[in-house]
Amino acid sequence: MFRHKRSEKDFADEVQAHLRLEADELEAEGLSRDEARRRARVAFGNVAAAEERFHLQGRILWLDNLVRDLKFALRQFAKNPGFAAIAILVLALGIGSAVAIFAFVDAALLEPLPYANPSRLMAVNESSPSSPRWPLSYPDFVDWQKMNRSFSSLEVYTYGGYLLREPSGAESILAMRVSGGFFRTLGVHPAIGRDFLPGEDRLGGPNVVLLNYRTWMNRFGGQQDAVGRTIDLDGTAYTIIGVLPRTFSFGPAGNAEFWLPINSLSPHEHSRDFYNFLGVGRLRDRVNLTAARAEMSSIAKLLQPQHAVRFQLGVSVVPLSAVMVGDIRPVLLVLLGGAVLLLFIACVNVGSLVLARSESRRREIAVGAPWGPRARAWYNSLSPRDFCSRCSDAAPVSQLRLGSFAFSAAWFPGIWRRTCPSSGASS
Amino acid sequence: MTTRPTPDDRIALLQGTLDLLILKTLIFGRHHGQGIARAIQRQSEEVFFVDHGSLYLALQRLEDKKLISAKWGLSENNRKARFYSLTAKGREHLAEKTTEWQRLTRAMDLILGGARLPEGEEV
Repeated sequence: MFRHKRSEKDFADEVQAHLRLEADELEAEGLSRDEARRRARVAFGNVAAAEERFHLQGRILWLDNLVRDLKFALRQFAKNPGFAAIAILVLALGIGSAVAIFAFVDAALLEPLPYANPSRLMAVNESSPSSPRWPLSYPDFVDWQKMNRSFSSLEVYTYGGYLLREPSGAESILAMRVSGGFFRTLGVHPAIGRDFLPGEDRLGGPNVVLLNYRTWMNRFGGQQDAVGRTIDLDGTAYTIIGVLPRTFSFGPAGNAEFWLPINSLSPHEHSRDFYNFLGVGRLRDRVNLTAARAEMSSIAKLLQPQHAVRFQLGVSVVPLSAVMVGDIRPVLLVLLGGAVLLLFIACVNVGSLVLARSESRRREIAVGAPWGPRARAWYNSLSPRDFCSRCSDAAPVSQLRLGSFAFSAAWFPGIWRRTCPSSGASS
Repeated sequence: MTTRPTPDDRIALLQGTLDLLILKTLIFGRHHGQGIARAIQRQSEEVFFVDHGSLYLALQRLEDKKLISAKWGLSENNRKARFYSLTAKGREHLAEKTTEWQRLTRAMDLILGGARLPEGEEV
């Protein structure tokens, strides 16, 4: 059934032993030594061929069995197209739903964020007694950035609405305003052009803009010379300096088309009590979450007197992936559980169908059974579990395994952390 | 004789029967491959010729299925040989397959040969 563990050398030794034994016996029957050896060889036939077959047997046996079983399954299908259609439909529904849900689960819970070393990325924000994750104010950001030792870089992003004026007309669009090192922190490099330069996010810096890949395709036809052109946002000319890679996505940005450096602030954004920015930071190597939290809250204590709010503001540091996935996790898990159950029910249904039908095949099996290994396959085709794995190309069972893997991974944090470092506190 | 006697009289083994014959040969104790080949030929009155390549592959197959186990040892004339013996699972398998085989041959015989052979006679 499986590839054997025995070495080919051992097999060759056995063949040699056979030849010696046979020659001994022939010699005892009165042949000369040489003749006995010759005859033993002749009787054995092609030694090399036997060794070759031994080699192939290990490799091909399971494949061979699979092919035979598939052929057998196909013959059965041809014999009972109605039955086959129902079985396939039921399994297809089960598999389809499980795969669809799993695609979501995979994207949201299993796949790490598409940034460099995503497990070190943290969402850094204020926290208050009533709201565990509060946006921060620009002055706070500047102080945090200056004072902290835990993060190799700390950046902020916020939303902006602009009026984009084009020859064809004006359109209101969504853009993201980010601090200068935002993309470097994520580990994302523009596909075309350049990132923001160090001075460009200082107040009064130049008006530059990065495009989303899709914006570049839709608005600029994917033309290389889009970089260097200017666009009119809110009546101000902005120079396009680059295009972000096609694979880049940042969940919170939603449909934002343009990325601008934060180099001009509205009057209230200068205030320490205008909480409008969201922080993201990259933890330094060898700094863990607890240490970072401790340091940040001591910084918050220092800054507290400058805030107008009465209550103590803290700092929330949580993995960025947790913020991005947010509250969807339990929902996805419930859906996944439902899909897996559905698949299981589909398997059970098909299994009972097969079982019911097997009653009519009793005679066929009784005749087939003594004829060797095929019989086993026939029996096998009766067991619902095997039927599932064989007839539908092993898909549902592996799907089940995947599903249950994801499920158990989600429920048991130990496994979870090992399989998905991005959600763990530290890798 | 191990050398091929009269090729025309020999019968190609039906698929699956070689395994059964091997198991049967091993029921009285351990044997090496060459001994098994000889025993099958002798006991079938030279009707079956065992292709040795197939024999060793069959032995390997049975070993993989854990119906037999193998161990290197010394033959009675002090030759190194790989000895096979039946496992408990193999013994059970043999009993089961033998019954099935007997039922089949009896049924075949009833149809093909009328009642010429007495019941239970082995082929």
